[in-house]
Amino acid sequence: MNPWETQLRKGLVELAVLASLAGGEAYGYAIVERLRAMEGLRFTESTVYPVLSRLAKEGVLSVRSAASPTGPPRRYYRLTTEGRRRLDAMVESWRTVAGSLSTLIEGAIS
Amino acid sequence: MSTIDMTVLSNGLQALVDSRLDTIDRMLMGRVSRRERLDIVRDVETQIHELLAQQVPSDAEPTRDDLLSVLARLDPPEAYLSETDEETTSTEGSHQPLMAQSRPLPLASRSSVQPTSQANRRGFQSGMVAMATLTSFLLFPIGYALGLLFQSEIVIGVVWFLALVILLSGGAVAVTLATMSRLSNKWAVVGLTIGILSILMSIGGALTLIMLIIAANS
Repeated sequence: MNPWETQLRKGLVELAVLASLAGGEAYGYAIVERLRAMEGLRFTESTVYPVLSRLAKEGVLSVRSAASPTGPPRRYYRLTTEGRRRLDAMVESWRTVAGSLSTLIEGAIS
Repeated sequence: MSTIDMTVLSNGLQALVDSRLDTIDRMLMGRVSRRERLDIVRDVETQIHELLAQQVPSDAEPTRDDLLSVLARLDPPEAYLSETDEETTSTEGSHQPLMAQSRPLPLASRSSVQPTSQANRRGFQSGMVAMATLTSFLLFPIGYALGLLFQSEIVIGVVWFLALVILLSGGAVAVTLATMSRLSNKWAVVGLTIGILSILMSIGGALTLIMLIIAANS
C-alpha cells in the first residue's frame, strides 16, 4: 500500500466506524469483520478497537455487554444522539469533498 | 458456530491468551486511559474466542496449535503502538484521523514513536526540570561572592536558602514527573536520578545551614 492510500484511509477510519453502526448496534469483532471486508478500507482490529474505545469515551457511542456463545461477553456499540449528529456532519463534509474532487478529476480527464 | 466456552480453554492456553492481552495492554500503557485499555483488551479477547469458535469443530476442544494459528491472524501487539500514538495526537488536536492498516513498527524503532506519547513527554519534562534544577548550584558560589562583597553573612544565608528551596522543589517535581512517566525513556531516568540527588542534597544543605546558624549564635 502506497503512502497516499495510507494517508487517505487514515482520514476515513472514524467515518467508517460510525457509518458501520448507522444501521444499528454491533459488537467489536463484527465491526472489524465488516470493515475488513470493504475494498479499499481493510481496517484491522488494532485500528478499529482504539477508535471504538475513544468514541465511547467521547460519548459518541454507547456500549452494552451481552453474553456470547463463544466466550467472554460481547461489547455492543451503538450510535448515541451525539454520534448520529457527528456522523451526519462527517457524511456531509465527505460528500462535499468527494463531489469537488470528482468535478476536478472529470475536468482533468476530459 | 461452535459452543466453545472460555472455561474450556486449558490453563496453558488461557495463559497464552493472557500473555497476548497483557502485551497489548503494555503497548497501550501511557497512551490511553486504563479504562480504554481494558475496553480494547476485552474486544481483542472476544475476537480471539470468536476466531477459535470458527476454527475448531463444535465437538472438539481447541488445541495449542489452534490458538497459535488464531493469534497469528491477529495484528501483532506492536501495531497498537502506532495506532494509539495517532490516537493521542487526535485527542489533543481536533479530530485528526488514525493510522489505518499501517504496518506495526519494530520494537527497535519505538523511540521514534514514543516522544509523542504523554508518558514520554513527562519523562522528557522530568529530565529538563532536573537539569534546570542543577543550575541552582551556581547560587552557592554566587551567594558566597555576594556575602563577601557586602560583608554580610545574612546575604550568604538568604541566597543559599533560596538555592536549597530550588533544589528541593525542582527535585520533587523531577521525581514526580519521572514516576508519572513510568521511566519510559532515558530522560525520565536522568530526571529521577538527579531529582533524588537534589532532594538529598537540599536536605543535607539545610541541616548544614541550620548547624552553621546555631554555631554562629552560640
